[in-house]
Amino acid sequence: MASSTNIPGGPHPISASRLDVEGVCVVIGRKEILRQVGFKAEAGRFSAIIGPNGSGKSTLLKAIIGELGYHGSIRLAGRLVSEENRRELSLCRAVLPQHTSVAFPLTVHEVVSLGRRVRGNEGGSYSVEDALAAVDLNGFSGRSYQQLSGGEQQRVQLARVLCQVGAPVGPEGPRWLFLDEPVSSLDIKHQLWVMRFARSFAEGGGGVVAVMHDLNLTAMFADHVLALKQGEARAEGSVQQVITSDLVSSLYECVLPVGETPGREMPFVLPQVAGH
Amino acid sequence: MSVADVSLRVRWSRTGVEGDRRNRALLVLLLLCGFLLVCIWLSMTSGAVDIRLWEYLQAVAGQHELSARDQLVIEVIRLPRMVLGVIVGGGLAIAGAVMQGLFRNPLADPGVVGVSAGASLGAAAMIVLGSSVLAPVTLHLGIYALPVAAFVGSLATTFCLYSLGRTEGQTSVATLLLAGIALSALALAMVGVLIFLADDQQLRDLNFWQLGSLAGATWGKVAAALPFVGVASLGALLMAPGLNSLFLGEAAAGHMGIHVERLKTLSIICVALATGACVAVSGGIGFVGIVVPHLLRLVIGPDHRYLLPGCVLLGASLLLLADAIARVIVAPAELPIGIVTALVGAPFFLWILLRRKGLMAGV
Repeated sequence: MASSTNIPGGPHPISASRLDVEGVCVVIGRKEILRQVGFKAEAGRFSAIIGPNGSGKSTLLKAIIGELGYHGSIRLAGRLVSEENRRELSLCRAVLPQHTSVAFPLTVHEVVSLGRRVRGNEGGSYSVEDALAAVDLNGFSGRSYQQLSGGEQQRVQLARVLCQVGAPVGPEGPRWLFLDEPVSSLDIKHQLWVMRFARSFAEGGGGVVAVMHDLNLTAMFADHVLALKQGEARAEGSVQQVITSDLVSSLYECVLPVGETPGREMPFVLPQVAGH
Repeated sequence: MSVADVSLRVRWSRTGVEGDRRNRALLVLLLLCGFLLVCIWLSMTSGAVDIRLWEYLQAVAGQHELSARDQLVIEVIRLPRMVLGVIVGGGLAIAGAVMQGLFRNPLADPGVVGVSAGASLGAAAMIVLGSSVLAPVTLHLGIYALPVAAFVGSLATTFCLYSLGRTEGQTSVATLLLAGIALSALALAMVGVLIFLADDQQLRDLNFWQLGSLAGATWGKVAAALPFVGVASLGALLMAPGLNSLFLGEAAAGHMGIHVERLKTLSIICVALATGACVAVSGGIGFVGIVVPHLLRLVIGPDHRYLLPGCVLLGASLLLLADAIARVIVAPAELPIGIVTALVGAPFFLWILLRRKGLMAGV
């Protein structure tokens, strides 16, 4: 988008394909949840935010998607994230919350259609059936959403989000997915399924930002990692730079050697070696 | 397994996509139109005087001579009463549905949570003080003074309720109902003060009106209520897609491009407009706003694009039916319609509450 490349007051030209978070502070009540956090994500990459419980991961995501007030600057594709441009934002990014309860007895088809209606029939969007197939929920469209398991509900919401966001790149530029712990309630098969999908969205040119708890999956799929602790950014960079024994151990206050395997008598299962 | 779950599994149309209830909804809307016509016919023909509607229609077409008495009964009594019944039934049902969508809670109803009580307070103030303190208002607004006063009362209560009943973007059923009880009690206490101040004529007006009835229907009341309910219904229909997005919560609706704050304000105004006008012309007719949307959701699902027009049709039909029952059950006297709707609606409300008991734990 040509006009968005020279926003007045920006320290440098902001690319339309980037998320720029600069000096963000969030205060809730009297508690400072985030302190001067900076973060850069690019379209075409999978960016992960990791950190222990209470480190401010979800808060940062909420600020980025405009759910929380903040000090500092957050620009998505050159646009300031705020209340006013909700409609515009809804066409270039979609958000998957940790958990979504539905107030009335909707069918799976109806839930996914809600996402589809944002974009209408414009090109590059998924049909409800395609979106359900993409999250391995073929044949679920007639089921009652409220009667699904937590993991199934989460995948229905992902299908809804896919219908909203459509193709990874639209005529206006790359589109973005913001995922708050997208795999925390899924079994290992569907964790891999969803992560592969998110990865392919990024490889297709879209931007993905995910709050992650699982370090193995993060290491497998992320291009770029931000590590938070106590509301501050502790490290930012590639998986190799961030997921190191020292950093992970200090992050989680627990000795965590990266790349070591337990003794022979202890079984372990790693997603890294899973076949298709 | 409850009725709702079973109805979800029924595939109505073989050609439709599974889980997509649009075809079914359209069919049901069509059937409801037919049902409304039946209820209109019942409403026009039941009562002390035996009227042959067909003869009246022929008379209107100029092919038949009707007695002056029959003509009078139809045009001055039955017709305005029927039209008012349609307006009030449709208005109450749509107000209930919008409120439930807004609060994301099938038990929210203007009558139950005190919005009707607020409207009563506004209307009672106008009845009692309309000739003294509020005389300038009466002078300027004419027949609209009563619905406007009721609208202001219901708007104030809805806003109070909305700010009281919500914590962190969610409404708790318990807080909502308790806040509703407190607001109702306060509003009704103030109505009590007004009753204390009222003279004999005003007392009779108040008393009659509080029971809830369509018996005093006139074309004047129709003209007073129609613009309010019309605007509210039209507004609600336009907001249907936004209300649908609220199914997933306010945050998710925002991410889907809905201006949530604006939607909430407009919905509150719609609820207050419809409730205010209905209460002003017909008094306290309860439970229509709970029963009608709930029945419809069981059959066509919660999609507001079909639910809201369905509410207008079914609400109007059921109110006409209740009114017809109220007229014939103790003939030649008649029961206030508010009693009929409460007798049916209160157990229905309890039934919904009991079904949700599992979900209510811990609220």
